[in-house]
Amino acid sequence: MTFLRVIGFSVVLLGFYALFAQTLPQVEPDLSDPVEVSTDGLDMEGMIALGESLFTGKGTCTLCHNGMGRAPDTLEMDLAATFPSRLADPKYTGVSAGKTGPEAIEDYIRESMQHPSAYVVAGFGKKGSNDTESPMPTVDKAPIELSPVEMNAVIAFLQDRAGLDPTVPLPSADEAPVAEEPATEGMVEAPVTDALAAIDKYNCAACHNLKDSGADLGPELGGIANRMTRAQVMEAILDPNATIAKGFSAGLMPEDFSDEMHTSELLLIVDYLLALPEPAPQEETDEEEPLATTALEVIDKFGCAGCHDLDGSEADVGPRLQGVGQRMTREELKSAITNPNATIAKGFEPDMMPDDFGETIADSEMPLLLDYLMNLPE
Amino acid sequence: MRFSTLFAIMAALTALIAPDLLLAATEEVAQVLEGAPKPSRMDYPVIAGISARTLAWIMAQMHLFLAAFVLAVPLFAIATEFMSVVTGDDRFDNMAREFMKITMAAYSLTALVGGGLLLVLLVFYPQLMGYLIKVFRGQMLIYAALFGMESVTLYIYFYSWDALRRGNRKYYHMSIGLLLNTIGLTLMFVANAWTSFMMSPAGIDPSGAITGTVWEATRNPLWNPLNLHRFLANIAYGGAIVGGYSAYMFLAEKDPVKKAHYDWMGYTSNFIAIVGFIPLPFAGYWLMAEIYAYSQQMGITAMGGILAWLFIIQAVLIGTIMLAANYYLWSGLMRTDRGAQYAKYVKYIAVVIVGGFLVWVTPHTLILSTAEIQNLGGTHHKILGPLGIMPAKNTAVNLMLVFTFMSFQMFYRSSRVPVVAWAGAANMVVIALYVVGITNIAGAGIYGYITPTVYKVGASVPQVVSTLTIIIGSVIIDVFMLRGAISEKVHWGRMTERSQYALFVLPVAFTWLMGLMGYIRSSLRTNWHIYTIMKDNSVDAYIPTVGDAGNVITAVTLLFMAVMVFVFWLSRLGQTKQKGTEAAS
Repeated sequence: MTFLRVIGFSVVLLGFYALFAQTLPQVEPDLSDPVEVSTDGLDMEGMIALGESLFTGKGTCTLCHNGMGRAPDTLEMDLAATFPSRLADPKYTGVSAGKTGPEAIEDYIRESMQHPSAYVVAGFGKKGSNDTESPMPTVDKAPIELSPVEMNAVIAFLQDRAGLDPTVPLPSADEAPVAEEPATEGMVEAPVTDALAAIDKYNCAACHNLKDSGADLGPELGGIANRMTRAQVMEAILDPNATIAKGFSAGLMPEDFSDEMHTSELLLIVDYLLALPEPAPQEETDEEEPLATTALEVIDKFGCAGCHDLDGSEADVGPRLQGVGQRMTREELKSAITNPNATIAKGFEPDMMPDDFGETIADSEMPLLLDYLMNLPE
Repeated sequence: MRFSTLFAIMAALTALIAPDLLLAATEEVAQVLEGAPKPSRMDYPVIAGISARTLAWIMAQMHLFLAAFVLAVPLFAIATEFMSVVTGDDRFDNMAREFMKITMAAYSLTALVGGGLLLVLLVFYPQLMGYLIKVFRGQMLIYAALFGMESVTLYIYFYSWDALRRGNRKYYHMSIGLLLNTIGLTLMFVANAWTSFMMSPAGIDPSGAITGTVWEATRNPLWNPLNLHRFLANIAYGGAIVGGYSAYMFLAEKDPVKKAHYDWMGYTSNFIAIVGFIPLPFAGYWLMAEIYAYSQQMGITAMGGILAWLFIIQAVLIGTIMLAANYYLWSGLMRTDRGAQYAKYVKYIAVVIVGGFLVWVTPHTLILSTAEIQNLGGTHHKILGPLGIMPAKNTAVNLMLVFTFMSFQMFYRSSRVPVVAWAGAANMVVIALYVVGITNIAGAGIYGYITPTVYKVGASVPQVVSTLTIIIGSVIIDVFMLRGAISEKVHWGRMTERSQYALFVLPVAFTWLMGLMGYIRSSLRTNWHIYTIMKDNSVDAYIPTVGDAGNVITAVTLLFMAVMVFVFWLSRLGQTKQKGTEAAS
């Protein structure tokens, strides 16, 4: 009898564990055979697109190169300024050390993929290596195994993001190498990585006045941050018929974005929309500077790099801001911008920085600036 | 047996793991082998529609469960035997013998399932096994030889128990036990070398050609972290299984004397399980740190990728274990007449244990659907999200360990009245230890929130130090303070049946937990037999969903528990005498 009771007790307990495992989200494996894509006849636009999907897919780059501090956030940083500053860094002694130009940057990117320890960004080295050894795997070796053409595609993508014309060769017809379609954990199509591309992909501007389309089938989205919360904007995209804006019809906006859209794309679009300025009356547009929609625009607009060494400006009137996120909290940084004379960094003079940024930097611009500065690597 | 003789034996065993330390015959082999095989899907035998992976998974897991138990029990059997020599209390000696009796019944099953596992691997994965045999060469034969030696010493150790029980002969017996444990641990270390080699290969070049010695392949980056983790886990696991045996026997027995014996055995087993369990999170932390150091991708796959949800199940299992172990300890307060004095604190300890469990089970970084993001209003929950990060979890686990120790301490003190004059002052020191330690744990946890990541990890060190200081400091003070104390009677056997089921939760939850962690560890290799060296091109080269894995783990655990309860039943049957035949025996 004891035998049966104890077995029965075990069965109930194990049943609970098995049931609990069933209630968690089930990440289904992708069992389809890898699809091979011919790169024969690929033009440079195609190479850039292939590089982007490799960056987020097979290359597994975004596993670490994201905003979580594992590696520099390549997709968010200002690559146009970063690449030249890396090549000029005295710590860098690799193949492109001291050189300039897009070819040198191509060599630098390739070297960083094949020999990641050639240059380790401060703060991102292996523990105990004093930033001399990179934790990054070599991308042309297992388990990633990018082919030379695939590495060229990634280089083309990064050069394009840096505002350069890609210098990598196109795959020749006789080599005609093939690339595996990147794995995207079961999703049909790799996510795009910037907001405007996401808006193109889901055709938002066809109905909304985005990218100067002038469309008015859907409501005006400029200044939406003043009318809706972040959660409400998300809801309006994923469940558009839940609430219909006055003067517009239900049923016009697709309801399947929650299935179609990648999470990262949704976040990009929401961030972009929340940063959109109010549509200013026509007569005022000539007088007022428009609201900045990216961190770099904010930095340009308010001239931050004139005093601070921001990605290669080498200005030293104000303190260096690289790695500021590790020295200050977000609130402290905001306070240093809006009330700069409250605390003066050692070695710097008071009253050098304008003290009206609290009023002149718009509510939609401040988070962009803070996000950017908080994530600046050392 | 002299120490020098024992040392020589241990040195010989160490050399046996890596024969080429003595025989330098590696160059010839390296020339023969060009690289790791690259099997295509057609190279994997398909036999009668059997799922090769599921079969190998079940056999490997069953073998691991049995082997972990069989290797762990002699470790604490010899410790208990040593206790009997030190204290002169025969109860320890009898209990150690009974521990071994259960092991004997499980030993042949371990060998049987191990042989089955080998057969399955050779039949379904011939190329992988062929390659591993080439890498580890003679070590596999030595493993078989060690297994033979383990069998011989195990039988001698158990059957010579009564013949070598008193006087100097007891030391001979304990020497045999020491030899048995040395061989057993060596066996485990050798098997761990093969497993860890598949995760972090060494002694070969990127194509898989053998360039190093067997010792280099053995001493791969994850070997030692895995050795330590499995060593501690085996002790906790073995303690839990023997606790399950004691609970089973307690429930089945009607005789109050025997009930008292099994109650005491259950208490001791629970103690062993918790002692093995307390350092386990720290060994796990080291293993994961080494995995990150070896391959950041592998570490992220485990902690922030598709396997991240599994750590929520792990938290539920560990929470169950902590709650059950504590409930059993609180029930034990009724064994002493002064226990009621301490019972009033139980509700506070329960709040901490349940609270700690809830914090531990709170997720942080997970793969979310867009609809889930929408519901949350972001990628992390606004209020509960902060509880999902490491400072909160480290604080929770340290407090759970401290308060579990407090449950032990309450029972220990409930049967002893100190007679030393400085008892009051000593109590104040103990209270101060708890207050300062807990404040430090909480303070370091809060500090973890306001400091950059690099210091966040560092903040866990003072927490661990605080936990260990409380435990070690309290034990030292109690030992001296309660020396010569007035002992009050402990009514062994005065326990509820419900408490025994709580004790039985431990082996069930531990077994499922071991199955889960094995699944995670194997999944880290993703679609590689040998990570980055030999690709798995079989139809099963993917990570199964957590639900599918849960079904397999549940089935294996159920099978194992059925086998173990059958072993317990057999053990009880062996003690049962037919009426009227007592004199004949």
